[in-house]
Amino acid sequence: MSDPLLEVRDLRTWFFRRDGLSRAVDGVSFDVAEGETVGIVGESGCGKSVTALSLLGLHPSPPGRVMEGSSVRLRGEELVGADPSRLREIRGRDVGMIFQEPAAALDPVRPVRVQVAEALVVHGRGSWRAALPRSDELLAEVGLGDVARVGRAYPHQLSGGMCQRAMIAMAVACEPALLIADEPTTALDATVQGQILDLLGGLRARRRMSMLLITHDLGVVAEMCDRVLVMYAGRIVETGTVDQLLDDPRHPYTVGLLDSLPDAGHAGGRLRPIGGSVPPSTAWPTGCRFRDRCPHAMPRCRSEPDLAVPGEGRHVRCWLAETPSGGAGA
Amino acid sequence: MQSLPRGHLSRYALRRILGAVPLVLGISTLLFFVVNLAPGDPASYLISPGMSAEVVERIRTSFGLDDPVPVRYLKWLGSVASGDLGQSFSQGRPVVDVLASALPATLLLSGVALVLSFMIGTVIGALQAARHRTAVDSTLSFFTLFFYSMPSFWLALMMMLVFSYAASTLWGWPIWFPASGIQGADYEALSALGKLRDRGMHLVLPAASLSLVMMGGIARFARGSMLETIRQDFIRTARAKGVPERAVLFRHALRNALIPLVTLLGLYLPILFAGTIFVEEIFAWPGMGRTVVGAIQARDYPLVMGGGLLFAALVVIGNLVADLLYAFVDPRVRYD
Repeated sequence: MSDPLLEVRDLRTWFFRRDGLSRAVDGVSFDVAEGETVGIVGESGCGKSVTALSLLGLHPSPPGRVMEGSSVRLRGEELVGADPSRLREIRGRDVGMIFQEPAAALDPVRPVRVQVAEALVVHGRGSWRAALPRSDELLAEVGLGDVARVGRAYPHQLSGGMCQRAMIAMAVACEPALLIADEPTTALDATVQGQILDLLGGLRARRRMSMLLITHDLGVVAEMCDRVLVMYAGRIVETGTVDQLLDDPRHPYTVGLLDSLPDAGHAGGRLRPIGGSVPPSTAWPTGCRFRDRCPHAMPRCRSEPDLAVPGEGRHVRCWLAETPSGGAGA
Repeated sequence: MQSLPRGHLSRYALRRILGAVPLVLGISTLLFFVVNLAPGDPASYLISPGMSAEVVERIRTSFGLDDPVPVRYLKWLGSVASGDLGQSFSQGRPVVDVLASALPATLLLSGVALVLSFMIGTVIGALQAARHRTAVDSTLSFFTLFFYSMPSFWLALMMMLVFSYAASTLWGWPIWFPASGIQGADYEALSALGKLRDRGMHLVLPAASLSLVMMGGIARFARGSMLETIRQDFIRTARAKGVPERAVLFRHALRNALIPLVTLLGLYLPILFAGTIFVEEIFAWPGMGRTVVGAIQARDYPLVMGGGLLFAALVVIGNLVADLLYAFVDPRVRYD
């Protein structure tokens, strides 16, 4: 088997804030293979976005710091502690990124086509004169049909969906091998969400891009992803293929996420949201971090289980998952 | 959308100018009564103790001071409307001529001070934000606060003391700056280049006194605006697409941070002109400020009124220019 495109090992991004040490990402390991789409799901405040940002050193710093011993390798090249100019080369060229609030993510005082062209120019893909027509082509490719009009428009003249399309054009301008999408549809209307997901799916297929998709929406995961990582309190608590996770969730947190969906196998039944909320990242519980909210908590949970391996490619961080028949499911 | 949709810029400008007419009228009314109701009048300078009452009355009549103040006001308003600002008592020339000869010097001084203070202030503020919470930031903060807290007339005296008097007489520095006037005594005899140098040297101290104080405030404001902008999502986007840090700061952050600075430009104009009055007086700069101060001392009502009117008009026009500048720095602004 060939080496994965992206290898993340024991990533720890801590924030040294005035109100205490926040271990927002606290020992996360995963791979993304060539052409694979991996989803990261979890509630707000679980460290999903910080994970995505710290891969390329884009987390707010200070106060954030990727700790010693963390490793992020892209095609074998270590990015943690890499030279800032090397990281800059990789950003936008090998790895593209899109964000949650597309209208705020675009520079308000520059026409959209100029911002797309900038991505080409900074990576030496031609002069401004050559990049602007190319940027029009890219805008057309992401479905901003009336390019002559839209390209010269400023972000405030476009809808949220159009802004996200422009962001996507910018992110894929240099044909990156990996696209990191941080909640790309969360801020958009339901109908627009579907269009953006279709666009991402099409681009991924045409360009054989890998994707890392951060979302709290399991519906998006089901539609887009090959594999899923479930994050809770700065840690991965369960991994598996989409089918494994949706059909046979093993970690009580994953079960809880699925149960809180309107139509996840409980047609006509009541929603069962997870009680309580994610604890503040400055005070993760000791032992199993889900212990306080877990319906199956037991004395043993005072010490934290490793990511146990119940089957091929599956990992669950729960004592109950260790026994082959011992699903934590309902 | 090919050309920027900016509403009706010229109609907006016209409406603003028409709207400024009552404003300037109001200012001049206030000014007229304050000046004319103050004790003493210009005739008192020409009256000596032995004069007969009849002569005194004739002098007062010749200045038009025998009418009650409201009547004088209406007369003055009538002549202003026809473009006549009257005759200067103290200089014996039409007020319009006096102001016309003083205006260029003031525009030169305040223009240079305005451009310098905004350019340097913005760069310092941007640099501080880029080096946020480092020794560079705190050192520059110390100096900007130092100058910001300093009255420009006091700074002017200190600069004169150090860079003119002490530098030339006490310490014998190779370079020192003239402390008064707009040109040297030998100006006419100089070559073209020498004239330019002479003017430049005379400009240094007054312009520095004016701009250092403003620069302090502008740098502090620019620093805050930059720090605000750097936290925004589109800065993260620029970094995520691989834009070099320098270009992130200057192409994206600074460009957006400039928008609120345009407001500051309008607000600083009155401060600038008030500073000009003191600084011109101290450095004997033959501009509007010095003219008006002289006119006030001589109770030269027509000249005080004309100068006040011109300053008010400059501030109003400057604010209009600042508002129109928005269209160039912020595409989201529409005028309609």
